Amino acid sequence: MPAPERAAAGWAVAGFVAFVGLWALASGWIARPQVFPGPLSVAATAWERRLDLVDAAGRSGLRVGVGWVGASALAVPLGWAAGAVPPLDDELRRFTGLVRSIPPFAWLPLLLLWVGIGDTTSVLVCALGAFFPVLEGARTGSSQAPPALLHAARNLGASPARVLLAVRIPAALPGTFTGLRTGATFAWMSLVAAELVGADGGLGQLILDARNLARPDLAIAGMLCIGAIAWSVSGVLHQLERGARRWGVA
Amino acid sequence: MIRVRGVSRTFVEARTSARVPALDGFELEVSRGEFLAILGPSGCGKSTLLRLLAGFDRADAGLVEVDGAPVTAISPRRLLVSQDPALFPWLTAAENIGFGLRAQGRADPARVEALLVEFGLAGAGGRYPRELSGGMRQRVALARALAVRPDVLLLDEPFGALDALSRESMQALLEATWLASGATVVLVTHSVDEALRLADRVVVVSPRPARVVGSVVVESARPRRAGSHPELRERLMGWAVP
Ligand SMILES: Nc1ncnc2c1ncn2[C@@H]1O[C@H](COP(=O)(O)OP(=O)(O)OP(=O)(O)O)[C@@H](O)[C@H]1O
Ligand SMILES: [Mg+2]
Repeated sequence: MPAPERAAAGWAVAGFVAFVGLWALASGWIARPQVFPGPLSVAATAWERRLDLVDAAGRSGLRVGVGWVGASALAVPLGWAAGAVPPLDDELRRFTGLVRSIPPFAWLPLLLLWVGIGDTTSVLVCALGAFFPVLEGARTGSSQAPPALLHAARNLGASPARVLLAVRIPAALPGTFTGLRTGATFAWMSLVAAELVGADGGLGQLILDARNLARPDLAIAGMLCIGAIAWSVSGVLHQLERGARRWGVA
Repeated sequence: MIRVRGVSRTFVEARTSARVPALDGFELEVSRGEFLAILGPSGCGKSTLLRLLAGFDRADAGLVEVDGAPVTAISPRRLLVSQDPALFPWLTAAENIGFGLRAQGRADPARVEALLVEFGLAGAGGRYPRELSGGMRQRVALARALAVRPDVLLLDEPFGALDALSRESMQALLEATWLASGATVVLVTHSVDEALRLADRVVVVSPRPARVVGSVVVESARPRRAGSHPELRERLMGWAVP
C-alpha cells in the first residue's frame, strides 16, 4: 500500500473506533438499552440474526443490482450518444427535464397502484433512482472528450463510428464511472425507502419489522448493514473510476 | 497545390465578447511538392491558418482550396501535426503511431516498428504518452502523421520542445521523408535557421491579423549546412517585427 492510501486507511479505522466509542459512551449514559442499545448488544443481535440479515441483504442487493444494471444499460449508451450529438442532448433535456426532477420515491404510490407490492416495484424505483445520475455522468464524459483528440482521430482517417468507439468513449469513461457510482448510491437509497413502504423481505423491511417488534438493536444492525454495503460498493466503483482516470484523459 | 485567397477568420473572446481578427484577407499559394516555411510573431494567426488548411476550422470569408477543390472537411490527405501533440492518452506510443493505419483498415506493425526506430523511439513503443518527455511526444505525433503518407503535411512548430541535437536529426529525417514522398509541406516555425535549413521558400507574416510581409526563395542544394545563407537571414530578420 502506498503511503497516502495507508494514511487514508489509518484514518478510516480511527474514525470507526471513535464512532463505536462515542456510541458506547452515549448508550451507557442514556442507560436505556431497550431504546438505545450499545454496540455490544447490537453486535450480539447481529450475530444471532446473521442468517436473517444475510437473507435480507441478498434480497435488497439483488433488487438494487437488477435496477441499477438495467438503468445503466439504457442510460450509458444514451448518455454517450447525447454527449456526442448536441441536438439530441437538447431534445433529451427538454424531454426529461420535468421527469428527472421528481424524486424516485415519489413514483412509489403510482407504481404500487400499477404493479403492486413486490420485487418489480422495488426494482423499478431503484432503476429510476439510478437512471438520471448515470445518464448525466455518461453525457458529461462524452461531451467533454477533448476536441483536439476528436480532430486528430478524424484527421488520421477514422470514420465517425470509429471516432466514437476509439476516442469519445475512452475519453468518457472517467465521467461515466462517476455517474455509475452516484447512480448506485441513489438506487440504494431509493430501494430502502421503497422497502420501508412495502416489499417481501429486504433490509428496509427488516428495520421496519424491528421497529414494530420494538427491537432497536435489530434495527441498528440492519442500518449498519445498509451503510456497510453502500459504502463498499461505492468504494469499489471509486477504485474503477480512479483507474479510468489514470488511464484516460489526465 | 494550395491556394488561400482573401481568407478572414475572426474569433470572439468569450469573456469580453471582443472581436479578435486572426486572419484578414490572407493570401498564400503553395505549389505541389513545395516545402514552405512560415515565420511570424507569436499570436499572429499561424496556427489558425494551418487549422483552416486542415479543415479543423472554417474561414469567415475567402477561399481555401487544395488541388482545385475547396476544403470543406477534415481529410487524411491533409495531415495537421498540431502545436500540442494531441496524442491519445490511453494508447501507447506504438498504438498512437499505428492509429491512422488501423483506422483505415491497413494495420502495419512492421511500418510502426520502423517509424519508432527512425524517430529515435525504439524501446519506448510500449510507453503511454504521460510516460514520455515533451520532445518524445512531438516525435510520436510526427511519426503518427507520416505513417499515413499524407499528400499535404501541415506542421505547427513540430520541433519546439526538442533539444538542439535531436532537433537537428529530426530536421534531417523530415527532409529525407519529404524528398522521398513528394508531399507538400507547410511548416510553421519560430526558428529562422530551421526555415532556411529546410524550406524551398520562406514567408514572413505580420502581427495579428497575419499578412505575408515578405518572402524569400532558398535555392541552394540539400542537405544544407546550418548557418548558411547569411544574406537571406538578414532579409528575413529585416521583415520581422520585434
Ligand atoms: N478559439 C479562439 N477563441 C478566441 N481567440 C482565439 C482562438 N483561437 C485563436 N485565437 C486568437 O487568435 C490569434 C491567433 O492565434 P494563433 O493560435 O493562430 O496564433 P499563432 O500565430 O499560432 O501563435 P503562436 O506562435 O504563439 O502559436 C491569437 O490572438 C489568439 O488569441
Ligand atoms: Mg500557434
